[in-house]
Amino acid sequence: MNEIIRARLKTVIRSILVTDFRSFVRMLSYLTVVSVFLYFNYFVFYKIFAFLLKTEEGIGYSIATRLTSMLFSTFFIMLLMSSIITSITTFFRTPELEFLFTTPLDARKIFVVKLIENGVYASWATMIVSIPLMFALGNAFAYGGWFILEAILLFILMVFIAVSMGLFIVFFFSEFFRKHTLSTVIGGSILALLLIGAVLFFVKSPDIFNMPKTANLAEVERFVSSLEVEQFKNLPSGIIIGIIFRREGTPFPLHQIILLLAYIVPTLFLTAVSMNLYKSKYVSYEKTYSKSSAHKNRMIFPTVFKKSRIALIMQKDMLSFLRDPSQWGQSATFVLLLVFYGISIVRSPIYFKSPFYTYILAFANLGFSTYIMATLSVRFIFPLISLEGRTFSLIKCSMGVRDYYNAKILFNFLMISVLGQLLIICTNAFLGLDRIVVLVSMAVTFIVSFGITVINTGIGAILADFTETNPSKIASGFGGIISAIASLAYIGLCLGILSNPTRTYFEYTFKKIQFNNVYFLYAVIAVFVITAGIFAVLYVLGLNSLKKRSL
Amino acid sequence: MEERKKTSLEISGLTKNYGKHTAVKDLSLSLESGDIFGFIGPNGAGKTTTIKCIAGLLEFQAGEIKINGALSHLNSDITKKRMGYVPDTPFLYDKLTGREFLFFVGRIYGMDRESIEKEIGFYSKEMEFADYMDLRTEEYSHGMKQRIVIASALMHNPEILLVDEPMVGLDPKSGRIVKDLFKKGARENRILFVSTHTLSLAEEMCNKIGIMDKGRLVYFGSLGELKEKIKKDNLEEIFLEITKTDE
Repeated sequence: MNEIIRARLKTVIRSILVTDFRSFVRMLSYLTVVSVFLYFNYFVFYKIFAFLLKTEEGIGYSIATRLTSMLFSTFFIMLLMSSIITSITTFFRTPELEFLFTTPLDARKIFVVKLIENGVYASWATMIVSIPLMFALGNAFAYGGWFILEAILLFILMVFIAVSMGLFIVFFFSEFFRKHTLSTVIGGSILALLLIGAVLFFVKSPDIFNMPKTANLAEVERFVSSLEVEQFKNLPSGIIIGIIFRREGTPFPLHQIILLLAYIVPTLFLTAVSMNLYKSKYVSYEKTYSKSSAHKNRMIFPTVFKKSRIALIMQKDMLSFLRDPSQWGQSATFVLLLVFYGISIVRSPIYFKSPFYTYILAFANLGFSTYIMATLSVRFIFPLISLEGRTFSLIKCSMGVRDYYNAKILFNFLMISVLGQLLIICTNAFLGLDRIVVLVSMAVTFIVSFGITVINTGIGAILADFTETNPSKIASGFGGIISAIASLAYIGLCLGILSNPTRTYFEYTFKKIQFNNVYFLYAVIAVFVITAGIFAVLYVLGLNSLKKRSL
Repeated sequence: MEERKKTSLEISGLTKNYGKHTAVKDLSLSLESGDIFGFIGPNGAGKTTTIKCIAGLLEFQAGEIKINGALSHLNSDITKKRMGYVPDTPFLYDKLTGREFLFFVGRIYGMDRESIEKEIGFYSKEMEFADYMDLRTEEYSHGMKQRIVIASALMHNPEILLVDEPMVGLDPKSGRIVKDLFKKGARENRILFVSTHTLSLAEEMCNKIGIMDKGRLVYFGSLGELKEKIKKDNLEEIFLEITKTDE
């Protein structure tokens, strides 16, 4: 096993090693961008917590712990889902496995290496948000360095529990449903988990911030004390929050440690079971024939598009996407999570339905929706050109690269724009907002969808890796991180521009002053100009990069 | 080199299904030390699946694979040390150099540093890759990768070498080097199990031929016997005759 780990480390070091001036500049810009992003995340979290802790009567402390608990619960669920999805590629489809399984290496050693690898793929996205969060918590609460170290170690433990549990779910289901393909098993596992989540959601009726605006002082006090009880407190995320937020002078958190052990021990046991099942699972995984029946020909065009090469590329991309379980599985998870998000907006308590909070919620909703669109784009749009692989040479010699590039942008834009508009229209309709706010949200979502598409397709073309076949790995590589940071910075800039007229609008609505809609128009025009600038630069750079690319 | 003990590979009734599709049906054959076995057949006939079953990469629904009379899957670690496998698509870690990859493989097979260096020295000379073995493998052509992979499969001195499509992407000179190496391997009492579409390779090197068609082994024996049976001199004509689609 040491040999594999050593080879892995060598690969990582050589990927980042500075050998010439070009790679030095590349590494320096990468480090700068990542550092700025991490610091920006830290700064935002720190400001939020510092602001909350300044409030009186301890409500800020309670909201801060509740907020952290909700974030940790979301991280845990996302880690579990990601593990279920990435495990199919990491444990069964990587070409390296065929080589390793022909050597005398013990399958359990291969399993351990792949478990670590799966943990990295499944957790990198949450790590770049959670590590600044933990630093911000430590500094805002003035808990000191030990707190940060403890929080990071406990978080890594949570990653291990989530990743191992996700993997065991896949192994368990596939062992008991051997007649079905692994993609069906993964789809089934995700659906089952989400159904359980949905049932819990409706049965437990989470009462976050649920307080009527007519509440008396006793009700407010009861509400404040209820906030200190973490949501999902029996999940590993809740237990960890319980441990790290123990108040000074309180006894050693024995209860939480026992609860955490109650997770760790079965997880270790289940990991050992998966480890012993691994070899038989690998040799029985049917790589060549995923289905016994042949696919129907879906490459048939509607008459109107039959001469369009762009439509042809788009149809090919759609078929490839729908027939790859690692692609559709992850997108289905995201869409279902968005449905839950939509439901939670509908179920937002009456207290939030007052006009002032409704508009705050609308702005937060726009921010959240565009953030989700950026995340989805990095995972699904950024790797698309790289996934073309060796067939890119076929495309390059059979059609114009510009047509191909346009097809990619159009396909990606349609996907992300439809999703974004659906999310914005539905949630705004539920909130019952003014027509002007709905129209502004729709216009901004439309422009931002295009901007995000151009950023991810453009950087995807510039930093294309035609040798990698694993989309999760492409998204988590150097280019993926650059793309993620560029997308988030772009969204931050757009929301920053919009925040000014939005704040004025809220203020005027509150004071019953007539608001001039032209302020919104200026903001939308500014967002449009920035997007057009990004398009002009990245479109040309991406296209030129593809034209120069040789395979 | 010390005399190698006799080795045997026996496959009986091997059947492998992918869902409802039968990829290999009731395949039986046996090989002995010194045999170079040419495994030929049209695309999708079940050649690669058979090789992967022997290499322990796929489970099968029926049949047995025995090495020296012992069931291969019962003692897979020992079996794997006796085998070398060259896949149709060579796998190398792209950030490692050829030398580092060979060191890595040698260590996995439990070889000591001295033996690894000796084997690398031998194969780099024999297969003419000394000039580029200290470059990262991401810079290699297909043929260069193939040479390193073949060396990595041979350096632990296996009794059985399973090779899937050895000639794909090789230039004539590399092809000649590989053929010579295989012949030498057979003289050293190895079993060479070579799946190929290159009929000239089978005709030139192999003392035994197996022809697969639609998952069945339709012929197994020597090339001479086959020519006599079909009454044709050329392996290509024989192959087309045996595998022709019934109209």
